[in-house]
Amino acid sequence: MFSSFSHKSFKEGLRMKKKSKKRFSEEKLYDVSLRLSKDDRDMLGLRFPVKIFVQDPFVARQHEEEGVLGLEEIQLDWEPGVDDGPTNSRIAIVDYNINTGIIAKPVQWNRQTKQFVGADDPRSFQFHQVNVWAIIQNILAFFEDPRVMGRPIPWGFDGNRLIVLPHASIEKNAYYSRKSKCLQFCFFIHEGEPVYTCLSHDIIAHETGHAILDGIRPYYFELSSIQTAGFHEFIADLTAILSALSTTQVRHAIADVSQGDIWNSQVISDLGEEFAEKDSKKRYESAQRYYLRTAQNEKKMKEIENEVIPHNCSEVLTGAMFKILAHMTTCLMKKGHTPKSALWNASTHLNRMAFRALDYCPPVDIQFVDYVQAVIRADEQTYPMDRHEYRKIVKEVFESRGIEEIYPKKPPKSVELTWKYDISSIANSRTAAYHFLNDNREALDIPLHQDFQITDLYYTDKVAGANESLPREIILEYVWKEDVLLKGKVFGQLENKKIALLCGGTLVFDERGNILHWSKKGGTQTGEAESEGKQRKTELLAFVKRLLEADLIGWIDAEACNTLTALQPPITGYQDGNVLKFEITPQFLNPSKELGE
Amino acid sequence: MTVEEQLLVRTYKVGCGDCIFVRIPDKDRLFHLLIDCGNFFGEKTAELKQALKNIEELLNDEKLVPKKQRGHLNLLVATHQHWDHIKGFEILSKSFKKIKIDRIWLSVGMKKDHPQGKQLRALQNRVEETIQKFSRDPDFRLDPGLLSLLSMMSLSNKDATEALTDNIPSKNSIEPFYVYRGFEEDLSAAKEREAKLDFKETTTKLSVLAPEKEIDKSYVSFASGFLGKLEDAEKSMRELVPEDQRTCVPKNISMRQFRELKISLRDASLIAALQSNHIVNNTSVVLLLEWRGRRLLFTGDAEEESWNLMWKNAHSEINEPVDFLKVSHHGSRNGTPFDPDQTDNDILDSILPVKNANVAKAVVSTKVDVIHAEANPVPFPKLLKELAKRVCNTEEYPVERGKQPQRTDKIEENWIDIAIKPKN
Repeated sequence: MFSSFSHKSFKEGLRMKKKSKKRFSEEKLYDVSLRLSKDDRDMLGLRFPVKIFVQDPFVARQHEEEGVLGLEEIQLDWEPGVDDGPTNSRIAIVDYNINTGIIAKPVQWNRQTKQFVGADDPRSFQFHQVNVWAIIQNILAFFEDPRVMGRPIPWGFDGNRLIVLPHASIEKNAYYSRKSKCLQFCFFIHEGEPVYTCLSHDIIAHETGHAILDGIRPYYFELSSIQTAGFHEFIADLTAILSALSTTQVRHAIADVSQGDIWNSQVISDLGEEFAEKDSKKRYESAQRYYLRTAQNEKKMKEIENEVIPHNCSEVLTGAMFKILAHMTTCLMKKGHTPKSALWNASTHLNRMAFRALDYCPPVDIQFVDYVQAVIRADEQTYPMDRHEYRKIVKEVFESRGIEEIYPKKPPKSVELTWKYDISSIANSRTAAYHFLNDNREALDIPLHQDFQITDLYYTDKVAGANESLPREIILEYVWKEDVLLKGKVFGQLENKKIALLCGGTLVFDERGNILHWSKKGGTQTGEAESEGKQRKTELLAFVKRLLEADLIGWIDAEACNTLTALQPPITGYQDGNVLKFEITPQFLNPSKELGE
Repeated sequence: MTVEEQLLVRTYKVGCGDCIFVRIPDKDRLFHLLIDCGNFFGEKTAELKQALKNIEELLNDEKLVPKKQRGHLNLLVATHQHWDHIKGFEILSKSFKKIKIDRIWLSVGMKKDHPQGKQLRALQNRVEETIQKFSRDPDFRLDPGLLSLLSMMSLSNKDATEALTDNIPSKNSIEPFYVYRGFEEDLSAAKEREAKLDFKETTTKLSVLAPEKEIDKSYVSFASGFLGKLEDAEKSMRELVPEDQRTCVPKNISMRQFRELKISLRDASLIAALQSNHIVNNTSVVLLLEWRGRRLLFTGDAEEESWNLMWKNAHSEINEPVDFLKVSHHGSRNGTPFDPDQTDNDILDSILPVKNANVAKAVVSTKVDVIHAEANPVPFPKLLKELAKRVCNTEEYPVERGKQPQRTDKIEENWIDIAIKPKN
């Protein structure tokens, strides 16, 4: 008995020792994994493969004659927290269905083999769980990559894990809900067969784009202008486009058919059919790649002057970015790249250029011109030489869309601060950052009486090209609100209520304390910003009037829960006492259309 | 002209709900009609009590009402089963002893065993189950406004329904008639005599233009399709995830987090509930009162489907201008056949042509401080603006959303009176 116990104990000890050694080495490697290239991480077992659908299998079945894009293996970074569900540090899949109360068993994670178990059959719920998790995690990792934003991205809610419900409810839609801290993917039955939105790469990427932007710039949820709402849709669509292009099958299919001329190619419009299709099935199919089709547009700023639908407004930016991609691809082709190589390089560069700019955007009330300025300024920091002259393409395309003044009015050097500051103190403490802003209110157009908030303070560690380290950026965001009275009969029952004019700024410093970029939204009560602030106030009031006239606002009690958001309008108004707030409602399809089918 | 020579429509200000009293001069007597009595926030009953008290006074007015007739309400009509139209009848049955009811007309949609209303009942049961399911869940909180909406639609509003189907009829020794377009034709001779409204003036006529008898076929087909799809999907979910593939609680988030998640999630069942709301509205009794050359249309909460069927099945009645319109469904977008983007609105142009704007009158009972839906705002401001062009009894409706009409001398503290003179 003793001997047996001793033997078992010895074996157990040996196993534990081996395990701890393995863990020790994994931990050590994990510590340095960010400094390793993808290939090195692959070789050292710090990445693991998962299979995802690059095209919704339902849509693929309907268009079999056009060629089916199916499963593709992608590599994801390993982290110690990967577990059943799947679950990791940032995402938890909870397969709960509200209609039936059923919770499907979570997929199991094998720590030894670094594989999910029992997720091979694409029809299984466990495969669905892995598919949706892997696509979201892949997109999040892309945004956090040093070549893009070079920093961890928080979610737009209290908490660090986004909950994802792959089979949330039975409807033809998908949602991002900040309030529920989750992404909800629904399913429906078509001719007796279930159709799952959690298998649609496009839908997942679009909703993930909303969730990620909400983490990067949470105040964009609060509407102050149609361009801000349009910007949310633009980022969601761009995430979906670029995520689709990051999959080999989609990219190769487009490159093969277009031979590099993607702007004039039918392949893009073939990916989406008429959105206004009466048949709900077709509408569902076409909606998935609708953004790709509408990206091929020539829409200009003038056409959206009185626009109230966020997605229609976003098409100016989406169209411009797609044109930039087309020009970049052509430019590379002229330099001898094959269509596949040109599209890969162009889409990768645009991907980084488009999203890296988000750190340079104002914290509130973004206008399209702010974004364009941010794209140019961020790219100047990353690629000062611009050897492919991509910035020239960007400038020309945006100017052709009617987005003027694409360079910031005030070059950073002219921000003359009254009081000196120590950038290392600012970078390390919100209080120090507050003191810095407070001391320099006049130069930064912050009214003396406004108690502003530091809404974010972080640094980035970005790289350019082949892992060339860039100077660290310190980014400081501050926000305040001014009450604007809705005065006059034109506001109907909202007369004499108040709405907030969101004001603030983003300051980007380098590690020596130089200001690289300043994107600000002035108020009505400060010196130099006065005229800008007053203009913004006028525009805000006009925007509220347009929303009222268009009947686009639905009202929800400020304290109420979100239960019937399925019936929410594109814009929801919250009324808390005498103060109003408008928020966007990110969802894939307009539910009122669905109800009428 | 004395008061009793004019027809009076008194619309009580009960909040967002209907309570309409009509006094019809009929030779040497007055015929009294009450259409609905309810309000949206059913728990606030003070306004309803006040309205009923005034009705009691009107029915017992010694100066106007002959002694033999005093206290008699000749006809009580409940247009449909929503709280904002029937809640007050519960109070009526309990507290107002001096009101004697001669006849009751209820929408056929309220008849429990109506053979052509099975699908509607299935849908209503679904609503009931949903509400019960959530009321059992201590974690579940619902937007108070939506809760009111669901409660209003709920069959658990039994007291008011029982007051109409049982208590009031038994106290008055009568039986309610479940009415629909052409219901008189289906009655036995004895019942027809009982149902017949004994107007002394032969030209006075009260016709039921809606609902249709075949409720399921006429109004439910879409919703039952929706419900069917939902049930199919739920069945599929159960089949796709057999018992051994399920778990009781998620292990990767805390119980607290899971509770919070559950309460914040949407439920398609609630969407089904809102669908049933539209169907019940469409089962509203729509009455056309013809009196001394005047035509008055009382529409309950009839929505688009009901209007279209009336246009088809009661065309001759609808295809003629009315002198008074009770605006349907609290002035919602789908309560009146009006599309602001169309130049021709056939039905509205027929019943309220712009050329009759100097004589036609209208009333809408609505609530201005709540706008409860994006697709169907209540009230729909463009509709109010349009109606203002077609009727003479309004001061000024602002173009903007939801602004309260100006007070005028015609608007009393607790009601709005509209007097209709004979045409000739």
